Amino acid sequence: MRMKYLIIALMFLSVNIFAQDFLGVLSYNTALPMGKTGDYISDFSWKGFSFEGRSFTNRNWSFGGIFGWNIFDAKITDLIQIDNGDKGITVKGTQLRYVNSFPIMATGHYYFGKRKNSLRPYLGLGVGTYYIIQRFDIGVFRREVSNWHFGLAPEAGVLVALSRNTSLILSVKYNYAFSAGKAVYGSTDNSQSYLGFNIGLAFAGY
Amino acid sequence: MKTDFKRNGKIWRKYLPVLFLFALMLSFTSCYTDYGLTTADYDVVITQYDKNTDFGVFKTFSLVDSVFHITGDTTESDSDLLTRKYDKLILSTIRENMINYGYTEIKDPSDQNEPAVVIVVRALGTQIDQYYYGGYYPGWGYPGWGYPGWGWGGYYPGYVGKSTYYVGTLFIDYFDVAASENDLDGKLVAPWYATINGLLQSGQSESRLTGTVNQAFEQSPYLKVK
Repeated sequence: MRMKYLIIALMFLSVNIFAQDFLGVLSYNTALPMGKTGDYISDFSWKGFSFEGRSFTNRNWSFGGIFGWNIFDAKITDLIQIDNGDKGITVKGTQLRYVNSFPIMATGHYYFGKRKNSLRPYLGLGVGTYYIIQRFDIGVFRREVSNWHFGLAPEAGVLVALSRNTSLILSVKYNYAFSAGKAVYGSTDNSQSYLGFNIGLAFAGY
Repeated sequence: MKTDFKRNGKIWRKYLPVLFLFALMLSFTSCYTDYGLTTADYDVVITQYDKNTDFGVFKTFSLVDSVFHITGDTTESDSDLLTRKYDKLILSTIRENMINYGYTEIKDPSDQNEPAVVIVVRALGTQIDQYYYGGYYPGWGYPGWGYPGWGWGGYYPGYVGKSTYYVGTLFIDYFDVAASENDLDGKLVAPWYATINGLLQSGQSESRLTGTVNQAFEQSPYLKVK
């Protein structure tokens, strides 16, 4: 099923790559977990990707949408100490912690300089949702929660022309998902955030 | 030849995004890395203590000399899933830890020679059947005992297999004898207990049992006799 969605999304993307004034972007995404996400998993994420379409309304502005996927995980063997009123609880076991984040957003970008410039810095903002699955495994026990979060993603990047139709794209994006539902460890503050470092290819269409 | 080469070049460029995406996806292999866990990684030790109890005042203990095997059927004395092979090892490991923490054992307790603490050990074996769905997305990481129907809210592509695993749980209860005798409701008072949970599998059982029992005491330093 998931593969089917990806193929449909890809078809959508490839149609648009060849449309006029369009930029199709495929990125490999790494991320530094921050805030509550960083408290839960501090390890840097090397697993993530996104695909994005940007339609130019004039020389400097584009609007479009992005779908992405970031995976955070960590294996932790530290003791868990829980204070429960008169009771003190200690838990020892191998913990596997996971966060899978799927941003689905509308985006707007402003590009500096002229279109034919070989280097085009830009600023952007994504507004939309993050579907975030948090999982906690210890021993044979598992706890998992998933929530749709409202989110914002400001971004700064640069397009480096490789050929007439292809550019390298480098960007830094702050992903902030507002609190929704409860965190896997029970906290009612379930905001999630991470700083993404992205490298990809942008294909221009005519 | 020259023309063909050019044409191939165009095709290559056209499919470059697709290839790029596939390369990315292959690089993930799984959204839930299993970290190659061993059986011992599934062991969990939970201890709980009453913060109002001054454990330092307890100096003597008695250990009930057998492990109670909890069975659903009260007429059965033994559980099918648990062996008695390790009972002695469990009890001797607990005894060692108590003595190391400064307690003196009273082997034949009586009204005249009453221990401050009585330790009771119980064991429970549980069979867990897990249905999983595999083979559709190789490399998308279903652990053998995974979460049923992962994703897609209730949409099941069909049963692919069933795995059964056996879980053992060991309960170590530390009863305060004086408090239990004085309890108005006649309840036994356990200011400390440990629960050890793990997969019942052959191999390394001795080291896992002694390791986890030792861990229960190690993470409870307040039990030490002052």
